[in-house]
Amino acid sequence: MKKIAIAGLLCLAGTAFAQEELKIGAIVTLSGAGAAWGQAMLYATELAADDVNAKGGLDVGGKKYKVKVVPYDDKYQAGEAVTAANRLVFEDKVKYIIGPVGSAAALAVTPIVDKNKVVMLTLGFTDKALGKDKAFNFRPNLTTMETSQPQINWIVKAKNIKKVGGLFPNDETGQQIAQDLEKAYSKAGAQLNAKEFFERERVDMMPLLTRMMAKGIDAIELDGNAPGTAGLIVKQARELGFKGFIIRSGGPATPEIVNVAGNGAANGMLVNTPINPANTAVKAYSDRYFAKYKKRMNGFSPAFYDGTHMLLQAMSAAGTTTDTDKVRVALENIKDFKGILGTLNWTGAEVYGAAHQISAPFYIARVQDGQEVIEATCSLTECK
Amino acid sequence: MNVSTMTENHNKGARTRAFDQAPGNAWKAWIPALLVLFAIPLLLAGNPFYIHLAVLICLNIIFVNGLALINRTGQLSFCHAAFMGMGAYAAVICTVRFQTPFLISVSAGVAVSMLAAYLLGAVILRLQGVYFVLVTFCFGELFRLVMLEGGDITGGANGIANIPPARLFGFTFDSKLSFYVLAAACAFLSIVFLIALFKTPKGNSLDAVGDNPDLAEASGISIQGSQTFAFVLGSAFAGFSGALLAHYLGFVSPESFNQHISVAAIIMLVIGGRGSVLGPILGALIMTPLPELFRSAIETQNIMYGITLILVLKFLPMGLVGIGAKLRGKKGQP
Repeated sequence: MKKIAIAGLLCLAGTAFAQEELKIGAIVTLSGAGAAWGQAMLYATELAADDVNAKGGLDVGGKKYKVKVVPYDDKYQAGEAVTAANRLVFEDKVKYIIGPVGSAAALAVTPIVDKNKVVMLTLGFTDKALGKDKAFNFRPNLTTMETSQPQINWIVKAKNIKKVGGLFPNDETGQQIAQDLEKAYSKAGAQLNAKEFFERERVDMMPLLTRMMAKGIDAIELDGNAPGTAGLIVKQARELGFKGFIIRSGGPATPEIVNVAGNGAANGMLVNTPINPANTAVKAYSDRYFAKYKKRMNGFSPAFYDGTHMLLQAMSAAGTTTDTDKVRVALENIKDFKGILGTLNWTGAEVYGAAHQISAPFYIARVQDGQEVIEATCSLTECK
Repeated sequence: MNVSTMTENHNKGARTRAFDQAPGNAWKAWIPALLVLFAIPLLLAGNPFYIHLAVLICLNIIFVNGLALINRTGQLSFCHAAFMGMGAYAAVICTVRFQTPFLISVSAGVAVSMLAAYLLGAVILRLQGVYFVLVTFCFGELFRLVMLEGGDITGGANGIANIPPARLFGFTFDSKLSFYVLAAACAFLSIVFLIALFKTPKGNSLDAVGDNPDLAEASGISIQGSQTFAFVLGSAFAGFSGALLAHYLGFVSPESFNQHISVAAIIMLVIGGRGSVLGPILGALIMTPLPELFRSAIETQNIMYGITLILVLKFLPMGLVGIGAKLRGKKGQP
């Protein structure tokens, strides 16, 4: 009798502790060029998962779900991303995917996630990543499309810039960004009149910089370059005696640039940053990030940390983890989400045809002795 | 001295003609064996991911078969992915811009690959060894850059998306399983084609040119002619697999046809075994799903992949086909 009672108790305990598992897939670049961004996204997702798991799991419709992240590498290639997506959707049966990093990969994966109703949070910068017909695609990070205009308006006016030169990697990100910036500068009354494209592996920028400087530019634009490459450009431009402004209109990378170029060369650089150094929540997140992964946090990470939390909140609100149509609508309906980056909302109905683009505050900072000093605070309409 | 004895005289260790050496008419047993092999994925139809891998394996078989054909005339092409890309882009541009039927698009893709291979081959096939490798390497890179700079025609780096699925005789291959049937049929036909080709004097002359060009030429075989034939035909295989791949994935972009893909094809060929029809099949069968084993072992995956390759090359320099030859050797058979 006693034995039966104990067995019964054990069974009860078993059911009390039995948790459902909620898998979130991650198609991220973990090797090669985009690895810094891929890691930033993956670690953000894992940290968000840690948060809810520490509280005993995600509460959906009265059940507790333990969140598990299943990461696959796409090697920054669209074809690999398609295979990874197939594996996540059909083999691991995930209903939610974080990634991919690259624009081409995001476009290639979209038909699979749409057909199988998988909610995807991508970083892909292309304007085609979101759309009316792409109901399950969301983008939790700001792109050049959102930030460039208000920010360039402010910089051109405040610093009296007329002619800008830009160096861009010759791939989908670089081509897209060059196109966006050219429009933004001409709208702001300046001109992007020296454009140079180069292969991502290139390290000697001197010939390109010399050619650009011969055109009498006031500023060099670094947006679109990988952090290390941007640092090289800054270093080599200053070595060549470039005295004008160096601007980075997007892609957080200040610590890496300072690391490569040195404090002196990087001084006075104007950068876009999604993070206000005075923001204690991000500071705490950054410390946690370093403590767990022994790597400095990349600036895209907080956006995906907030994005993953929004996704999890949407599941709770929808009361289901399997009916992604409901989760998608719940995610769309989140308003004034209090993330570590500030108050977040969805926008983009006019630009993309679907309000699946995050709207977050961002800042223009001046680099001084390796630190970012905020010069202006921006919304998607203007900088002050 | 006829061509076949000459071929055997000049067989070097690394170029074992496992297939030709197979005793009797073993290849007749092959066809049913292949059919069984291609039928296995149908049993796994419940899991679309496995079917996806099976489709990729079939397309890789066609792709590597083309490379094997070129390699048997003694040339190693480093721009095989470029011809795959040419076939893919040409077919996709036909389908998307001119709304041509699938069959015509694929034919156009293959034709463009063949024409480009013919023009390129006429110039560069006179080069031997490392020079040929270098020039093909550069051509592969050139192709990628042209696609990258192609503006609206090629979609630049973003490539072309929303390619409609393959459609043949009123049937749409829009599910993985249906496309697998198409891809498997094509892969099967490409294998049978190669088996048949290497049974003919033309096929033997290709081998002869690969083994000893001087002797082949002295025997009245045109080196240039044979190599051009193999290069054009091999590139046609690549273009064909590219056209199929594009319609399967629904997406093309320049980086899908970069040097890594060419190198991957060479690895499949070397691992599987050069100089036999079985080699490319084994290579594609093993090397296509292999990265999946390591995909989630994130930080170490490239190391593991590298170690696997080194181990295979160390212990099986003739490729996996070499196992069969080794076993037969031990039994005292030729």
